[in-house]
Amino acid sequence: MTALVVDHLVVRFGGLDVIDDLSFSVRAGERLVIFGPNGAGKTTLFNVITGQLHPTAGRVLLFGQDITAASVARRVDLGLGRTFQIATLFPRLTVLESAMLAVQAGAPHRFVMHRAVHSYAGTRRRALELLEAWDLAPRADIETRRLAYGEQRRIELVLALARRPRLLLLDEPAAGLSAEETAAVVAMIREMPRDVTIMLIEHDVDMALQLADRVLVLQHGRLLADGDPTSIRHDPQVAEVYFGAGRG
Amino acid sequence: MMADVHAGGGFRRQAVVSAVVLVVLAVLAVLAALPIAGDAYVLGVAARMMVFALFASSLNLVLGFAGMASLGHAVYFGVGAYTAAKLSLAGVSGFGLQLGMAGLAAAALAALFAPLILRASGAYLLMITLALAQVVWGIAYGWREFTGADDGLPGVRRPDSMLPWDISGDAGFYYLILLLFALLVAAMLVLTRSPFGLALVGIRENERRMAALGYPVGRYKYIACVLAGGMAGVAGAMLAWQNGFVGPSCLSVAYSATALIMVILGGAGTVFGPVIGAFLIVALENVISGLTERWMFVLGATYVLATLFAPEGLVGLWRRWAEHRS
Amino acid sequence: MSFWLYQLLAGLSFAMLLFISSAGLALIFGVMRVLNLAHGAFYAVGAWVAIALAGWTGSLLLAAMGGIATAMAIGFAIERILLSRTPAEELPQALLTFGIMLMLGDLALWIWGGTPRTLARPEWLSGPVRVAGIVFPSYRLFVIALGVTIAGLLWYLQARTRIGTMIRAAADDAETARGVGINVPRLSSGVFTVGAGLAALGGIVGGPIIGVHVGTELDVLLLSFVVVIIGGLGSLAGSFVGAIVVGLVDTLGKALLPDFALFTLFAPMALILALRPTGLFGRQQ
Repeated sequence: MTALVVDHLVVRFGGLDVIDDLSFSVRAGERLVIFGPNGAGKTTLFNVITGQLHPTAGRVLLFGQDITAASVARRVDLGLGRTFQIATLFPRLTVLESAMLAVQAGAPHRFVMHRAVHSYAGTRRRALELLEAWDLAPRADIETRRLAYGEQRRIELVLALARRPRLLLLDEPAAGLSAEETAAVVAMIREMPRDVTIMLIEHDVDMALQLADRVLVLQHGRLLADGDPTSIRHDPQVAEVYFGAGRG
Repeated sequence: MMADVHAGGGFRRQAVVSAVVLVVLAVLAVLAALPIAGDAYVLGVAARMMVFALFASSLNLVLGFAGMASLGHAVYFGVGAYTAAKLSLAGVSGFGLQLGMAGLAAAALAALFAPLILRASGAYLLMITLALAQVVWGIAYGWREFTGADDGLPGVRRPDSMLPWDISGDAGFYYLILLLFALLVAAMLVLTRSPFGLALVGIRENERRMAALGYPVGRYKYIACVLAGGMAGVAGAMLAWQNGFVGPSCLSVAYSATALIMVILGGAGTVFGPVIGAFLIVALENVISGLTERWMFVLGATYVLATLFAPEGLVGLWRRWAEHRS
Repeated sequence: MSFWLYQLLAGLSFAMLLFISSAGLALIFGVMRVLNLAHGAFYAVGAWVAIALAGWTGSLLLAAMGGIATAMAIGFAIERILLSRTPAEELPQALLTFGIMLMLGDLALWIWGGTPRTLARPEWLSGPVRVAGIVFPSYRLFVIALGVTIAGLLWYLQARTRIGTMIRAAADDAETARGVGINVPRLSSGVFTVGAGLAALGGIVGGPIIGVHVGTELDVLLLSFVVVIIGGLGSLAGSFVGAIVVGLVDTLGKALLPDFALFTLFAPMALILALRPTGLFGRQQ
């Protein structure tokens, strides 16, 4: 089954094609890493897929449905989740409250005004289960802003998982983390169930290759290479534009 | 901030919650007992405190919970007051009808303004709310036949109620205000602890993340604006009864700023903060005005001191102190 | 015909008064991103002090200089002592400056009482002149000339001097400006002080026309907001155009729809904010 189809996508800012006639598709369950130098259009691509940005031309299909014009909320309902380049959480909510907010996002009672949040036992139980599953339960009652950045990144992943997405977009999930914290995040992503398709923007080559089934390399908004990690690693063209300076 | 949203938490939190409950009950008891001891002046001040507490609480719903500032919230307060006054002067004396119409009129205005307000942020949000309120203020100030212009609408009478007690006297009317105050603060408590309330806080804390989770952020903010407008309108009707008079000043930027300082001084994003802020400001106004003519100076100084020393309000100061001690 | 010419000149002179009074607000927002709600209070301070000094010394020039200096001193102190300690967010800044406006307004009421006052106009500008067939007060023509001169000076300052370059850099991006060695805090103090002085100048220029009364600070603040919003917050050119729009609309509005003068003033502001939130000349965010 195909999780995502990006079909002749163009995004133009001013006169500049940030994404220039890009097409590819992602199989369900795949771990796809997107490489590319700064300005290659990676985050723009994510913003188009999630609906924060509308493309100049082209289509986006999510599990067979054309979502090119769908709202952000509609895409989330269809199974799309994402994280941001910089961890963005709810600083003054506790970890449990944040998780409940994430679980509640898909619940019919999210507009209810006359009943207390904690009276929805199902929401609360599911939020606690999530935290337990990812070893964050001891942090449940702590305000998010009081946690270390590494933990905040893990919480962001948990929040993105709360609505059981079928396609999860992770924008540099380990940016700004120490080696130890990065290892924890990598472990977490590896443990995610295989029915979740994951697309990942990552600059750290080693980390990306640990996680990837398949790698796309973008340059100037176009597809430069598409293949399994080993072949990408040995592709001379890719080595030149991307690994070149960093790994020479 | 909303640490008491969920059950759980330790003994200390429960102790704090019980302390808050005790204080609230004590304040309600004092307010309820006031007609026994107090004279008409004291009752008037207490009623004014409660009216402004509701006005400030309505602003708090958008400012403190949804994170949208406003320099024009008095427009809803004033429209509610004018609605009640016009109805009263037209001989429609039912209290439910006046209150309902005042709330509806203000909510309708908020529903009209909200699409413009929701597009703005930062300084532009302050400006658009100010501009819209000033347009309505300009109408109230100019339309002599309908609003009495700067003379306002005198002769507003207290409404008839279907309550089991007579509200034509000072004490009876005071109990009506107290009842409405207690009901609406209780409603705020319920609302802010509901899934809707938690979602508003989520939007205040991180709008982008809420959208990415699939929340229709715009709809939440829209509903919050309309609810806050309606609640301010209800408070405005109560002000019209209490004063017996409505003038354009109750729509003015000075009133909008007063609501802001009440919310900030008490503590935005908490249910009791704005109530405390409003009680303090109204009480201070009456005490200071009895001592000197320099009330405006003191009020201005309150803005300055609150901004510099208590940016999270008195509730915030108290929380920090309690945290520090534990 | 002469009705319209008269209205046009009256509108323009009011427009230039508005420009002088509101330019500081736009300048301060442009550089510091601060909504200075105390702006109208500087106008009032300038007018009150000048009226008092004119009474003591009999010299209008001394009075004007004293009024401007007082407002600048107060502005400098506020920026250094209070504003620099306030979080760099709109709401705290708005509340702080609103409080300052209340305090200054009440101080003026305490010192000078509640009677509205006007400033005498200079001897040589007290008579009417004949312009294109109509009789028009010479003082109002002077206001038009002064407004244009000040606009020219500000333009020159901003476009052609080193300080102007620094101001534009800080307005574009304070972070980068700091990076290239511009002392942004000192620049902010300077801009705030100059902005207060410009407002006071407005109060002095307006002194013979509208004078000063209890609540002037709020009236002027609101008018200035209309001007800078129509033009686009933070843009001097925008304020100039905004002042002309508001001056003409208000003068015509008062002539044609006297009861709804306030409405005709604020409605265009709301309309512009609704259609183009950054004003006619503001940059899109």
